Amino acid sequence: MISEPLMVLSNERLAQDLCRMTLEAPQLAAQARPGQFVTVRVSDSYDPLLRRPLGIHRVLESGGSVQLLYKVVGRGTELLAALIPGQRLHLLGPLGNGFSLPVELDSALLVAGGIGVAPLLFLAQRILARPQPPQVELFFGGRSAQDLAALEQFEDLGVKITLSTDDGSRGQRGLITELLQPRLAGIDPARAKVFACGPTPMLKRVAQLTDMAQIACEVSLERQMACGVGSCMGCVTGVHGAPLAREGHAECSTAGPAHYERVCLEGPVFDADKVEWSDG
Amino acid sequence: MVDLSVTVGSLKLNNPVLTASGTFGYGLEYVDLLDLSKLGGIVVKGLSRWPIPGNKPPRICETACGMLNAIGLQNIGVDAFLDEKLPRLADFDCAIIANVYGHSIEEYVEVAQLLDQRGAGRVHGIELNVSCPNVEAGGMAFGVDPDVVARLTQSVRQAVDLPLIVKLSPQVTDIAAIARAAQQAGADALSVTNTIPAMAIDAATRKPKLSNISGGLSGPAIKPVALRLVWVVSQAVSIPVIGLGGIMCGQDAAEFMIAGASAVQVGTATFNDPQAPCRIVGELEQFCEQQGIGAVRELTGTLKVDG
Repeated sequence: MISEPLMVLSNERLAQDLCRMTLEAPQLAAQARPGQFVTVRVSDSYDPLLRRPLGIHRVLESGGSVQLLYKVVGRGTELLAALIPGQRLHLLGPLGNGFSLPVELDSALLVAGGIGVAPLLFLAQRILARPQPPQVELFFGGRSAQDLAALEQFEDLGVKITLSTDDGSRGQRGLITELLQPRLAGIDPARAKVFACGPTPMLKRVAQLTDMAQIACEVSLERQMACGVGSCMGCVTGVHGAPLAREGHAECSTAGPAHYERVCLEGPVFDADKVEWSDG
Repeated sequence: MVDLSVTVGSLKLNNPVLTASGTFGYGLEYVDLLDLSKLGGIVVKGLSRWPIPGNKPPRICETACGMLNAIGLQNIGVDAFLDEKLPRLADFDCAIIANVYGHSIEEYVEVAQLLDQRGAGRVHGIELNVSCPNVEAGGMAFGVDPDVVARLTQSVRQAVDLPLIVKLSPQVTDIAAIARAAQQAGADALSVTNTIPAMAIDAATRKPKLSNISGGLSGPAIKPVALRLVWVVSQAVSIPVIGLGGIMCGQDAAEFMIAGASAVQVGTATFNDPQAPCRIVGELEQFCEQQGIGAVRELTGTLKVDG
């Protein structure tokens, strides 16, 4: 894990609220696995106070650099967008676990909603770098064409792309999960896996669809975070599975998720069927 | 060379900088990021008799120069701490202080006894959390009434030999009265202060930003409040005070010591800068050098008040 100021090599605005930053980070590039993330300190002052978690978008191993794709949503990300090449950004990472790739895999379906595409390019990169790579497809939905970032990079990798937008400005009008559903019917569930990142309602729907189709699915969750390393318990999500020991503790015997896991440490990638989707 | 060692009652610390409970996990989360032996001590995440699942998310949100949390004391329970975490913490040369939380006085006593007996030699002190704002079934109710604080402190004091620190709530009418009650009941030191009950609202959705509706405010936003409380409490008692609340740098730590603290805890700063606790040790040392102070303990209680 590194915790240091890194040199900004480039910081481009791809669309009105989408930016891509390249950082000189040989150690991070060597260590990072797809699905992991970093946290960055957006200001030297204390407002904003908390670091921003960003998925690792792409690793350029030859140059020892790492790209972050981020959406400008508030003052913190505005400050990030204002950084210019030569400046330094304090970064902590790689954090969390990553996606896991089964050995036997014929088909990898990546499902992205908006900025959720960020960690999926790195994943596609790594899947396709395998000796006998499976077929990789991207199902990518956004509100409008402007949200559909990094398409060229996926095309360059040879990923088959299916698009949708809420306003119909690119791809089919509607939700990307509507396009995913028929595709899931056409593949061998035992040799396929779905990897999804995006808004919670989309992930919830992907989890339902893959559950019905009996296809393995991992989702990458996004939560407000404070520490990023598992110490504050701020970013948890409810999960099914082995509950906490509850002996003699009335407060713990109420209904609800089996227990909470930290998105920053046990996640951000979880098996879709493990996540308690009814929980905030 | 500045002498950074301090004593807090019978607790001897290599330096006055501790990590604050709830912000540093069980310490082990930071072994790749910090040399824990460079810290004065670690106050671990609040421990209860049995694991607590904590509150429903969302549990945190950012505010101006601060953050709100309503974690709800999620923790692994005292047994798992003793079995799984404490043995690994013993590798480091810093004080390990166990923050303790209970639903009843009996539960506080039981957890403290387990730490005293099974953690002998490896747990160096106990901090009673009588002031968590995020748990209905206890927390705050213990911290606001001097008689209850006294009974709780006395019960734990009689049950354990370890140095006993009581962490006071800021949300009381007269913190000096609570502080005196804890001292009279046998507390060795007081931590001042916990987070301040607060809330944040999303105007567009008209919903609270935390599922618990309100939470505890921490970070630089509360520093002036905490600083005053440390000063008030240190005037009211003769036992040492550990100051905390928005300490981000060495100078902040010095201010708390000047206000009356013998040691400090660093909490939310670690979320902004994971190296903050160690950085603050270095900055405090540098501050002392610049001021010509030979021993950091000389700072304690040196506020100059005219007249």
